[in-house]
Amino acid sequence: MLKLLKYEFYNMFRNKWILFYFLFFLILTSSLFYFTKEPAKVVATLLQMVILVVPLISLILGTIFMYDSRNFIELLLSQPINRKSIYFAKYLGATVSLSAGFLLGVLLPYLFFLRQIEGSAEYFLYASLIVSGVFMTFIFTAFAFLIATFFEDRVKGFGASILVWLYFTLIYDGIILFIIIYFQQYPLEKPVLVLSMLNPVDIARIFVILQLDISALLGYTGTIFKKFFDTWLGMATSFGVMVVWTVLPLTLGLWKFKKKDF
Amino acid sequence: MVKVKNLYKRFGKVEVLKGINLELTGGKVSAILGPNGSGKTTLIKAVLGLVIPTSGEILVKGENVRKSWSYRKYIGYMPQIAVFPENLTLKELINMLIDIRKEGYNPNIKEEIVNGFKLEKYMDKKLKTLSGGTKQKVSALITFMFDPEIYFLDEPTVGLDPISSSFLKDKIREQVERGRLVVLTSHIMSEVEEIADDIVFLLEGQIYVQGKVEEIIQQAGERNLERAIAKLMEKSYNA
Amino acid sequence: MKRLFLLLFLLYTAGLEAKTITVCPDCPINSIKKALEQAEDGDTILIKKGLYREGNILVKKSVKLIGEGYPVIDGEKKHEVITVKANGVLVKGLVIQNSGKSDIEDIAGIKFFRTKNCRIEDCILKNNFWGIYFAASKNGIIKNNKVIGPAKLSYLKSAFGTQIETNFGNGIHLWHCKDMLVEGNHVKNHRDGIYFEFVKNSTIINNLSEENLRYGLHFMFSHRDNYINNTFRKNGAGVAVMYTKYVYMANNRFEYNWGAASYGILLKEIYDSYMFHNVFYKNTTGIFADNTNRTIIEENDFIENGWAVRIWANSQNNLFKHNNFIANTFNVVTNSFQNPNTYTENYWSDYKGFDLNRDGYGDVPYRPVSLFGYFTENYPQSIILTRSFFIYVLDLTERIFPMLIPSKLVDEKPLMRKYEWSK
Repeated sequence: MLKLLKYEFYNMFRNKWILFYFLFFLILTSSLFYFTKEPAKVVATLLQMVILVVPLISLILGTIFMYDSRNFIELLLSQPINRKSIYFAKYLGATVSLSAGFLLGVLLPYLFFLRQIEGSAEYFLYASLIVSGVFMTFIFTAFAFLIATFFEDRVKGFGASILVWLYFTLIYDGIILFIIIYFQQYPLEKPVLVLSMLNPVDIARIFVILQLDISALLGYTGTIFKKFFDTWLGMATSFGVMVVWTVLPLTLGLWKFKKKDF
Repeated sequence: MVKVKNLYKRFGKVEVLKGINLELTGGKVSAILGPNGSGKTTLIKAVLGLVIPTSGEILVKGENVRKSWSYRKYIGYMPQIAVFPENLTLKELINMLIDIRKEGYNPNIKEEIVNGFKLEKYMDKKLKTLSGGTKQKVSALITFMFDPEIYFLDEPTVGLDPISSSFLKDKIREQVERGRLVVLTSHIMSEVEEIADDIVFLLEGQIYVQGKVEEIIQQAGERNLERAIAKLMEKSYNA
Repeated sequence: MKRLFLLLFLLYTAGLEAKTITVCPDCPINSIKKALEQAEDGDTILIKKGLYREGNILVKKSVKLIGEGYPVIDGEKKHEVITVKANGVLVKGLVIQNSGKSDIEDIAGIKFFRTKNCRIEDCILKNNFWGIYFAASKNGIIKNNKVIGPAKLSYLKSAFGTQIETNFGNGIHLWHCKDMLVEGNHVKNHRDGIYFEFVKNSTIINNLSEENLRYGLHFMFSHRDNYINNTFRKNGAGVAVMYTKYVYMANNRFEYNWGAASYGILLKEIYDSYMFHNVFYKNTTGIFADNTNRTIIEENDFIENGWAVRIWANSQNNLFKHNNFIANTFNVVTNSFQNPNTYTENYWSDYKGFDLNRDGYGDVPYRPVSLFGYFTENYPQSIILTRSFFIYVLDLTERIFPMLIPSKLVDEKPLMRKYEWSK
């Protein structure tokens, strides 16, 4: 598998989409730092990228990669290699390359501007942003692979990708708000906490707002969220949920991939 | 070398293979023929493990292929359409396959085919820049260089110029003489007549006719294979 | 010139008539009480370094109590340490500590009762129930003191409410006073840092009030006071000012006041006041206006607050002009569907409009109230959805088709750049 992965990287690093993706973050982050010099503000904008653009691009590029390499997968499958290795190599190739594009794109400008930064350097905030972004890539590429394995038809695949994206970024939070409004007479702090823990996009978002919007969060029920996420238990749980969200679509996709006819 | 027992395959509602029983032995070129949708490619893919049978058994060199993958070291497969990772160079592709397969790799054969197809000049080119014909040559190269015991060639000469095509056919005959098994599909009957020993004629997922090329021509009472096959197909349409 | 010297000389010799009594633990006069017995109006009592435990020290003469090397006057947790009931008393350079505590009386480190022209300066007050207490006094000065109480913020968790009221007193407490000056003090760990009730025409300048259990500054019925250059930081409930007219507040900082009922400043029944050049930084709520009227809020900075301004429907005819609203989670929230106040020429950092005619004002009016702000007012848990894409879409829809937020609450001339006022 490692050998396969090596060539997967050769292929990916020359991929123009990966390059565009990297340049997009590089230029965006650089210009943000150029104009504000305050990491907290840069993170505020980058957060929107992490919870919107990263999942969307991971889903779309992930399905494109999978569909495009369908014939090559056939060729590989005719070689003495098991299907699991092929799937993992493909997945890691795509997800690590995308993550690297994102990571370098947001990290290099930060390091470059670190000396000119005004105010706090916000190491922890920036680190949580990057970790969140990498997790988003891992999770949504896994979903992309699952989708591309399930749907033979590209159009259906892209449709499903967009649906998954809308669900996690938009619809899910709508449901949470609906629950909050509908059940307002009940003590909802814990259920809402659990609900938001179930969505990886929400976890990424909450980790960043815990630092950016702490003043508002500390009013009202925000304290309960802070208390939870600030503990090791909260950190570990968030991390665990992210891992589960990666493993779940990945194993489901692999299960389907193993039974799939090419 | 390849034994298929009572093989069924269903894609959703469509039953593509309906009880195939087949035994293919070394030292021969077997052509699998049949109209479009008769199940040729599915049969080959089932042997390769690309398609998972609904029921039935496939043995390659005595080994059941279900849930196994190591048996594929005996097999070389040349798909109908060759698509490669577009950003790798030809050299990298070759190295990659050698890396992951190793077994059977024969540098002499590789050299011979590279020279025969004149592929040397493409070695450092990215695969996405190659023409369809060149990709087909690459596909043949990576199939033959591992010197497998069993070849599955899906329309191997499509897109090749006459020189390369003859070269490939020579190579195929050469393998058979070395006791290898070659299984191919083709739409060019003259080609099949030229290189195949046996024919398996599939119709609607079943073996309709099976036998030596000459026998089939004789039985049909025609001049050549093309007409014999045409007659068979006509019969099937009428039936 | 000669005349001036002569005048100075005369003044100097006049001062000589008053005597200085020195107190130290090994001196013939080894207690402040003895010194006070011997002293006459205008005398100075010089207290040398040492520990003095004398119960309650009552000052009924116009003397100067001056400490040298910070002598410690200790109330042994039983007594009010010093009580002043004379005019023109100066208290300087003392450490006053460990006053008694009572549920009935306001026992203080030092209490001035019915005085005129008294001064307390450069003193350190430690662990007193009440710190510096002025009642029914005029023309007093409280300057450069350090008032550190026993109330740690960590007590808040267990003792919010009744226990705070009874267990801890205020740092600087003024009641029924006039023409007072409170300058350069540092108040920490009391119930309220600075507390005024019925205090008029006074000035509060350059003080730091932090980490008090309840309010950093708390006043009621205290008209025509000026609050300048003070910092109120990390107080349990921020700053609350009530039932007062003609407040002038300039150059103050309100910061890190965090909590559900914590405010940069709570304005309750405030009339005809003026807030100018104040900075509200990282408070849960910057300004909370409840029945505040005819008040001008001009050239203030609201930075990174949860809610920069919460304003109830009963607050009318206020003006918000030339303020900078920067990176607040919510800029303005209100429970009103009308807009009885004016917002104009403010800078809103999340304004996304353009200035095509280049006059420095955005061409499209800015709406400081967001739908999400409305949701968090009514459904507090929804705060967890901050910065969600869903909320963004919701806010956008509401801005295009306003239904729930007051459509007239707009800044018609939002500034394109931060309003620069010199600090």
